[in-house]
Amino acid sequence: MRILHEFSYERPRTIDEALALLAKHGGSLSPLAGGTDLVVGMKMRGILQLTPDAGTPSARWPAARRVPAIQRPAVVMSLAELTGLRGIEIGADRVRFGPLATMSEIAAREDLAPAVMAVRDAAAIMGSPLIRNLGTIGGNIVNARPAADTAVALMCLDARLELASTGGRREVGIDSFFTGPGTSVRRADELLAAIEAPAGPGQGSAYLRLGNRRQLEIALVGAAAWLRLDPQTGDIAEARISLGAVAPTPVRAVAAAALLTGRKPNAESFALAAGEASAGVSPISDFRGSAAYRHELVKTLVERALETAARRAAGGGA
Amino acid sequence: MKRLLTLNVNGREHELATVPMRTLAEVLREDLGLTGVKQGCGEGECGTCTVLLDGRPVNACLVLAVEARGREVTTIEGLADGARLHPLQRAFIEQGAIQCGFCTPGMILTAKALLDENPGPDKSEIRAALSGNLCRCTGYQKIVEAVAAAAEADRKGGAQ
Amino acid sequence: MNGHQVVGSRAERVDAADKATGKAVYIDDMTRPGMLYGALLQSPVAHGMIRKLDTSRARALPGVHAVVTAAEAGSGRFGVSPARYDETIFAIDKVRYLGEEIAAVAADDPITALRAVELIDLEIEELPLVLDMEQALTPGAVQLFEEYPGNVTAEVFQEFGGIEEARARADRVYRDHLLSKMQDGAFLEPQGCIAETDHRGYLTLHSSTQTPHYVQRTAAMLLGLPTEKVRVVKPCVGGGFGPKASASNMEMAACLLAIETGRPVKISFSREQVFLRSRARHQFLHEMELGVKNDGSLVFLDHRCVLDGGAYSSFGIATIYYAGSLLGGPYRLPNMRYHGLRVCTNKPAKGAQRGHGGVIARALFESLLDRAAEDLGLDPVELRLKNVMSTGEVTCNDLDMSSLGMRECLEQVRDRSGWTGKKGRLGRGQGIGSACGFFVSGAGYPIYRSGTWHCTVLVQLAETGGAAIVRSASAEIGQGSDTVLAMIAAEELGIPLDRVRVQSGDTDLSVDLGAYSSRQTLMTGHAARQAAADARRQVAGCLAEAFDRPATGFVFKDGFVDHVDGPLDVSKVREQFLKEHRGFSGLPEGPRLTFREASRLAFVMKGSIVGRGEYRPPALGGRFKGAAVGTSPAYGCSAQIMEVAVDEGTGQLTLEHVTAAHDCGFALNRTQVEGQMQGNFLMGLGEACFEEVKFDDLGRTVNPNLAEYKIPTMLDVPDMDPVIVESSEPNGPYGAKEVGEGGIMPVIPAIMNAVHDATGIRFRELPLTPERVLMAIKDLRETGEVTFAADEKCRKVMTLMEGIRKERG
Repeated sequence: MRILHEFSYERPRTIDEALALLAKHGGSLSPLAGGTDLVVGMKMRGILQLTPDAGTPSARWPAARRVPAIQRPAVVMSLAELTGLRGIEIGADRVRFGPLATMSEIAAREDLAPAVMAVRDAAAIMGSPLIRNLGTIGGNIVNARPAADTAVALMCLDARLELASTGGRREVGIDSFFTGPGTSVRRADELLAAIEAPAGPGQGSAYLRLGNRRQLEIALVGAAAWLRLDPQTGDIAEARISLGAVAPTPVRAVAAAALLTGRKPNAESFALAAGEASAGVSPISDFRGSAAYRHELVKTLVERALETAARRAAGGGA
Repeated sequence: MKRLLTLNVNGREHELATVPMRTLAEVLREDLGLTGVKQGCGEGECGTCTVLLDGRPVNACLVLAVEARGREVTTIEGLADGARLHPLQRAFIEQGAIQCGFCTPGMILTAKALLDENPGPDKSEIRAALSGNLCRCTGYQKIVEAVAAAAEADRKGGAQ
Repeated sequence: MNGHQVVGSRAERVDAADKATGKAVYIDDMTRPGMLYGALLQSPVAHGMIRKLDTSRARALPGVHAVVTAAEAGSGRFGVSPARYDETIFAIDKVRYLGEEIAAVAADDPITALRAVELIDLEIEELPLVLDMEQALTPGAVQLFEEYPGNVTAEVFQEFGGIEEARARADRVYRDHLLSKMQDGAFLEPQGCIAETDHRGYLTLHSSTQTPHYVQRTAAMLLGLPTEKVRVVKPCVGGGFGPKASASNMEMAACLLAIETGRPVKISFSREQVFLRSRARHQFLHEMELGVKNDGSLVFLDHRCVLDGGAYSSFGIATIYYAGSLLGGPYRLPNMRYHGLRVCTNKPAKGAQRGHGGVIARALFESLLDRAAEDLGLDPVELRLKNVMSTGEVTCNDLDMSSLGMRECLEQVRDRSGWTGKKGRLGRGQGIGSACGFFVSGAGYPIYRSGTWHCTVLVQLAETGGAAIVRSASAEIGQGSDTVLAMIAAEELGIPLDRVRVQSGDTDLSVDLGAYSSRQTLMTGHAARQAAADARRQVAGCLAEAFDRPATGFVFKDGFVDHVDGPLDVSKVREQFLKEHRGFSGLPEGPRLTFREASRLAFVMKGSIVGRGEYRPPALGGRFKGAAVGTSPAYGCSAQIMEVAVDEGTGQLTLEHVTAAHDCGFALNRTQVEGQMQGNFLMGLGEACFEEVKFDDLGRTVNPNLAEYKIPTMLDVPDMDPVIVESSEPNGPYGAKEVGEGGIMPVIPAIMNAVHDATGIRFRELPLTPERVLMAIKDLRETGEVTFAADEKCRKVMTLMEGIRKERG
């Protein structure tokens, strides 16, 4: 598989240079982080990748025998020199990820607080060990796929995203970031500059997903859960649940999480929330799996994610 | 339009003229003749194109060649020391971990990165680390045994 | 090692070091001077009439050297079996599957070639689609071919013994069905080839193929060349498993382009193209009735089977036979009736894949045995043991069990797995299952009607002395055949393994039908042994003269030659050798004659010493129609027991404690035998749990990539305990027979039986994905029974099949 279209390659040395390029080229520029998504998207897709209107049987089929690549940017802008976008900062009450932090780097951080461990779970299971050495958290978010593992994990952490452009910086909550499969509120001239999630005591989170195999999978269903326990009673003070691959974007299971407030962190509570989470989504059936199966998986995975989150919140470790 | 690109591959600098559209896998194979880098899928799914980039195993088919500028690239051809095989190569041969051989360069490189970072992995760690490298012939078992044997041999050698 | 020096050991593969260092050369690593790059135009629709094909814009693109279509390729037909030559190099007027080859271009570089393909103006008027076996068989369905009425490309009807009478005698009858999905070989190296001609009209094709011989014949036939002017060479091949065992349109296209341009032309497949070519595992629907006595002995099998073979026949006529015939053993089954249909549909064509035709049939059969055991209150392993055949018995369909270690395989896995202590005693969500299987050790007959030798081997001793070259057209595709041939030659000549080189995979070297039906160890091994022994005898003949000793008394061992009648006086020979090698180091010393000196002497006396060997099986099998398919000089057999844990929240399966035994007759290389067993296990596991080629309602392959066509990763395959059983096959070299395919047979049923043990559910549809498992558990819990989509499909298809049977009368 080769890249057939031509693009010009830019390699800005500073963030300001990068932002200037984004301002200049907008939507015809694709930033290049790990490349695990963009490079594949740019390769010729052969005869089977379909454009939206192909696939309607017609009496004649003119010209369309090789459908062009999904992604054909005129400019590819490498982020390789932007060292300021790398790294993971662990603060007293929050964690800040540079968008270029790779999945491997995140997965290797055993010192991440239990509150944000869902991100580590997600980073550790995405793709494969090889892909994780290239794939970045920023790329995973910005590509905005409904099954994106770290996006789902961050969503239950109420993460905030910092978007930068020549016009300045703005902050967006992750819940309002995704607008559809592959689309987000990020403007064409904006660069995702940082991802931040709060991390406090008595909190724990977890992410689980299921595919058919145990590696190299895209989630059939992904589930993340975050809990804050009351230090006195041990009851659930606050909960968040997020789901992937069951809607056009990663979504929060708001009603299900609300059920948990004030309840004991036990199997009964989790089952209740899981059932509500399952009832609250309308996944599609596609060639990977049926809606009915996805409903079942939501139940199982939410329950298990809650169990692990609770254990971590209580200080029980992994 | 072609531009000059300097790549550090297997410890040597190479100056090439190429366009940004080419992947590291293509450039290594076609411009540098390093055909030990295989192409099984082009999408980062099979691992036969694995190379080490600054010591970390990656799918070379997902890396634009221009992105490898300033980084150290290691291919299977860079492992043996002249006629002396790397302990992992020896172990793969001795343990019967090679059949058609197409996954072998990628497997060995990923295993090398594992042992460089974790010299005493157990079998589940070996399997986890190599799980991005597919094999259709061996059923994986002898590959795991080979990596374990190489680690053991390293350990014994180091202890002396 | 049973008194052998080399065979029976764990020798290192002769090609391992090259593969471990990146030196091994596969087709895509090769370039030739002046080489052009080819690309294919493939149909974007699954069924249609070509209304416009205009290559003028493509031809005009700078850098394009040739464009070929059916106009240049002609209408010559080919395929696998001459009885079913239904393919042409390029589609003529009609395309029958999405991906079918329509044209090819040759250009200076791959990108120009791909762009040129884009410039070919193609218009296709779409025809209605036939996308599954039910549609294909429905009266009034669109016909893909005039010559296949009812879309049936092959039909088999066989009866052995007497079914109706047997029904009356059976105490109980169990009936069930099983539907599988189309699979892919998913070898890691995509196909590719380089074709070139010379000015005398000789064509050389380098190709990633399992069968240079059949490719050579096909190219000669289609291009109108004498066969002797076509040479096919395989470089290192990165796996085959069956789909690479026949000539491809891509190879023929490259040959045409090479002839047209006068330059070497390379075509390499993308992974997507691998899926579109397919020639991999058919889809199977089996329905069986198994009749038994109350004591567990088998009485009859009534078997109906429909295959979906995609758009062309490929190996299909053999597949449909194997699907029935391979159930004749390894148990005593006195009565067997089989009706099989292979249909064509608008999907990529299916061919032979590991276990050829027998895999899904075996899966259902072994499940039925399990059911019988359960119903009769017998242990499933004991039920099998009760029925296994012994060496020397012949099946009801005339397959001769010249060696059969089935009993020993079963007992080994039973004892090593702790079966007796575990069966019925595992916890909730856990199960243990057993199964057996057997397979041919080389097809008894070549694919085309011929008395040809199936293989010939030449062993030439180095004229300088001390070494040998084995020349064989056999195909090393990863299974280790080169190493086995080297080991055999080294054994016969009594020299170290590193003194033997193997040249193989080249039709210039000898004749060999290639790597399919697990034939090379038994057949090519046999010929190699004969050739090496012949070379040795020629040397002994010279030594007899030189030393005045009986020729038969010379013993070749460890690189030396001794004589049973007493020490040889080597002084004269030694003196001559040293004189010849003045200035050399590492010369022979000591009182014994070295093989080096002996073989050098033989050359000086006689000229080049070339040993010859050849093999073809004797006439095998019965006289009924289709008797040939399933015949073999020998049969390997296997047994497996494994445990499975079922996650009742997700449906995911975890396999553990896998014990596998395989009777390979004699393990020429123990490491390689284990490797084949483990590789078989992986492919069976993949087919049981993950693998499925998916299509949409336009006939598009939905998952033509390794992301969505899921072969097992390292985290999906557990360790297995491989047990080698050696029953000593009289027809095999040193007693050896196959291991390349037979080991896949028990895998799917062992998993199915273990899952049944864990869940109480008999699955009638594969693969056992987490979804299928979970929804079945849910079904059972909520309704008390389990329905699969396959059930309705089977009902409908069997009804259609019944209609066809009645029509035939």
